[in-house]
Amino acid sequence: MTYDPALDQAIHTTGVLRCLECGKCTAICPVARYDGGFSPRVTVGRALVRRDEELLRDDRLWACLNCFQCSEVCPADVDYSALTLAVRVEARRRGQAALCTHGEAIHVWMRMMTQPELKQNRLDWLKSGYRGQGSGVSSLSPDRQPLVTASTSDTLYFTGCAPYYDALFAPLGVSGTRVAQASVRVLNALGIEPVVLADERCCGHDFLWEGDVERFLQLARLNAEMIRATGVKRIVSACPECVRALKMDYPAYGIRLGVEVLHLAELVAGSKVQYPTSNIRSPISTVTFHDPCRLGRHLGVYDAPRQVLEQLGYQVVEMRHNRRNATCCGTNGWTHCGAANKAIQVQRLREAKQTGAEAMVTACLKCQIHFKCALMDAPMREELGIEMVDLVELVAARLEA
Amino acid sequence: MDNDVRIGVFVCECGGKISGALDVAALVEYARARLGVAWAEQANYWCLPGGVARLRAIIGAERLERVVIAGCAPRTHRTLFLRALDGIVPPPFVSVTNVRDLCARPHRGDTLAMSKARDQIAMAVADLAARPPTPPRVARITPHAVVIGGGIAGATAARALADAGIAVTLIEREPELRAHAQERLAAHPRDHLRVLTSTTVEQVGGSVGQYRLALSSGETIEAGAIIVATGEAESPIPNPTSKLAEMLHLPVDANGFIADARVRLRPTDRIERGIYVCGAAHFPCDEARAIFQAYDVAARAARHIQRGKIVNDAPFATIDATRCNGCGDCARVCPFAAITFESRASSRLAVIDALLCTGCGNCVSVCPVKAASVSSATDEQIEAQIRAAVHGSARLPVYLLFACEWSGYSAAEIAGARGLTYPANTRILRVNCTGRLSPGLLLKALEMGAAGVLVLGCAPGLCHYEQGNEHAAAVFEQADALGHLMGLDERLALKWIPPDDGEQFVQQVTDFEK
Repeated sequence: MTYDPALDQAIHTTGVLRCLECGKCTAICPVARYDGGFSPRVTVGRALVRRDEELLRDDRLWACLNCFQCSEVCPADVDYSALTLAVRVEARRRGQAALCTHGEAIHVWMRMMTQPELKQNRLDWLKSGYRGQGSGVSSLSPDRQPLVTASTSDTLYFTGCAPYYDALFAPLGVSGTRVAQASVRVLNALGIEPVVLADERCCGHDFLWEGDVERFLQLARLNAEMIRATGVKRIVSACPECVRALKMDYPAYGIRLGVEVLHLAELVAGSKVQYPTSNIRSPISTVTFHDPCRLGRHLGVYDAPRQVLEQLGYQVVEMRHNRRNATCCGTNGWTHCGAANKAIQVQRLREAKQTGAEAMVTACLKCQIHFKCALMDAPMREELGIEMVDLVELVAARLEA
Repeated sequence: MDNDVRIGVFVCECGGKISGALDVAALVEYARARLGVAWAEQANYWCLPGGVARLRAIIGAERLERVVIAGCAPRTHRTLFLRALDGIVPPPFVSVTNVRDLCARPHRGDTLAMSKARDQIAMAVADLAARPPTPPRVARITPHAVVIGGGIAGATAARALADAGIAVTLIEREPELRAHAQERLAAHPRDHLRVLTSTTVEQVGGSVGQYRLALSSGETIEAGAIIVATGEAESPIPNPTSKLAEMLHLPVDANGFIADARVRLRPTDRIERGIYVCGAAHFPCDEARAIFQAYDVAARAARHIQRGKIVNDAPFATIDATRCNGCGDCARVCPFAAITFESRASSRLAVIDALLCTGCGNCVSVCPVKAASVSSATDEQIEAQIRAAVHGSARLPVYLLFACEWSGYSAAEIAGARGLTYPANTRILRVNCTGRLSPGLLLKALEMGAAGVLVLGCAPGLCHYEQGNEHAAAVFEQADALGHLMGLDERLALKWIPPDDGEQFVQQVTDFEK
């Protein structure tokens, strides 16, 4: 019994047939470094056999983070991640699935969002207004700044799952709602009153990379319908995965939004904001920036966040592996997280610590969650504890000053 | 269901108590035809000698590996069936589900009673089919007892153990034993009774059966049994007695006395730890009573040691070392301090003491990476039961009740036993502790189509697993927050009820459905 013709075709289109078996993919792969059972090179070999049923049942199939480090260094231009996706689609077809983390809570809500009749209550965070607080950010004003949205606008702010993450990750000291509030505050300060969808669905990024194309499309269609109805010309988000999905995957799967899609960092960098001069010294002056995989290697955005940090007046110290070579935060898609992923996170935190920076800035809520989870391990926290803050929160705090 | 597993369903008529309200033959047929079990049968009384004999015979003849007895209360009858099937069916695979008190009695005459009964059996079968095999835990018991405290109680206990031929070490913090204690030990051969004065216990490690005590003298000794006879504490807490009690995981009350474990907190399948308390350390008493208690605990300790080993079939949690990322959430919620950590390169590894673990499952629900699991209540088992309940034989939506064994479920049983009624479109999923539930499981039930999800657990202060209900409350808060975001608030609720309170059970269920 051979693979489904769709997978057969993917083997051609991903360039896998060009593989030289040089092993550079495996040498650079962060998962392979810590998990002896995982190897991109071996997976490619097995997929090429086209009769390797065991490959489809191998739980390591789901271990790939799709961080793109492999394709970045591959001399033969093999799109390994696309192959992984295609194999996962085939595996799913045969009843395999990834092991979900967090008791499957996240997958349950993502699945429930595919139901058209769902009516969410997801805008409470807008009503609370914005008040800067949290690592590296101090609020000068005790008052909460109101957040202004509009029913029509050129710009839509795509919230993503941020409000939902708070329910599970507040104990880690991560606030998705604060990032969302800071985002709208920043937009307001730039003179933008965005549309925020009252029944926004998950962008579908995680379903797609797990090979669940059907659910990805269900979510995409629901979002597309709502977005088109607003008449916006551009979508801004603080989440690189949402940006990637809306900008690259929706059109690739036939869902054309016809709008510009960008990360808030790109918008802020491009806006040439005039930050008010402040007499108050920020508690932090040197920072290091962690490139989220989806913002960096997937979307090609490396300069914008750094420009923003420099405009804010921070001194940016780079980690040993940065920009195109940045290592992943270690976990992806709320599946298959374990000791190997922890090892990736620890190594990255070590690099951050070695820069001597006072804080690590990132532009992805999920990266922050994963790093903070790693620091729940008390001995690791003692050794590697570092302040972490989202770029958007720094911008919002500075605009307030 | 894994078709390789041969499951038998035995429906009891219970002398008319079940067959008078439900069509037992139809239940048997449902199990055989629709649930696909290897064997299904009914009897007037499965628990009587005739029933038991037939049970054993048919299990042998049909090579059944797992059995569901759909009859009366597990807490009265499961032990009977475990004994009857000892050596024939391993205890984890013997399931008793209370069709009498959860279906027959409360829903007599209700058109929905049969669908509830069918689904209840389906849930028990699904749970059993998904359950992984669990070998029993075995530990050797070190043939040595340690008595801490050289007063009259301690000396009496030490002497009694030595007389029984058991090696004893008596530890006393003062430089000398008091006169009456010395008398007790006088003229006794010292070869297996050692007295260490000017000595205290600094640390207790090891695990049940093989405790390791680090002494102030620098020596470390191993013991299978420990007797605490430290007398009345002289100073307010914290004092040497309370510190010792903490080391041994013994509760201390506000007056500094080492409290009894409440009878409710010691289920039949919780292991005997081999730690005993006697004399004024436990409660103010005169010399005669202290001596009496000393003989009592010495006898229990001797019996414990003479067993030679502990075999326990009760469920316990394990950690998958490839998944554990050292976050420590499990240790934070374990009510029995059964979790410690080993260091590794990039993450410490949680280690569960299998003999201290009671299988409450709080660690399982909190573990973000599915490293912790309990063999009696895996996610797969609970999900299989949810599916059987929500996608069962009823043609209308059902309310799923997650009921903890010690309050919610027992209250439901009592409600039935007392003939109270409540809506029959309810399905009761029994967990041993509500702390086992995670937001994912609660939301999944709603995702699968439950009309509502109600969690019924022990009221604060009454939790059988000490703080499992607090953890359950925290979990519920998360589930509730997510439910609110998704616009599903009214379909989720958590209620505390006192154990065995049938009326409260009926009240909460009826109110929830409104």
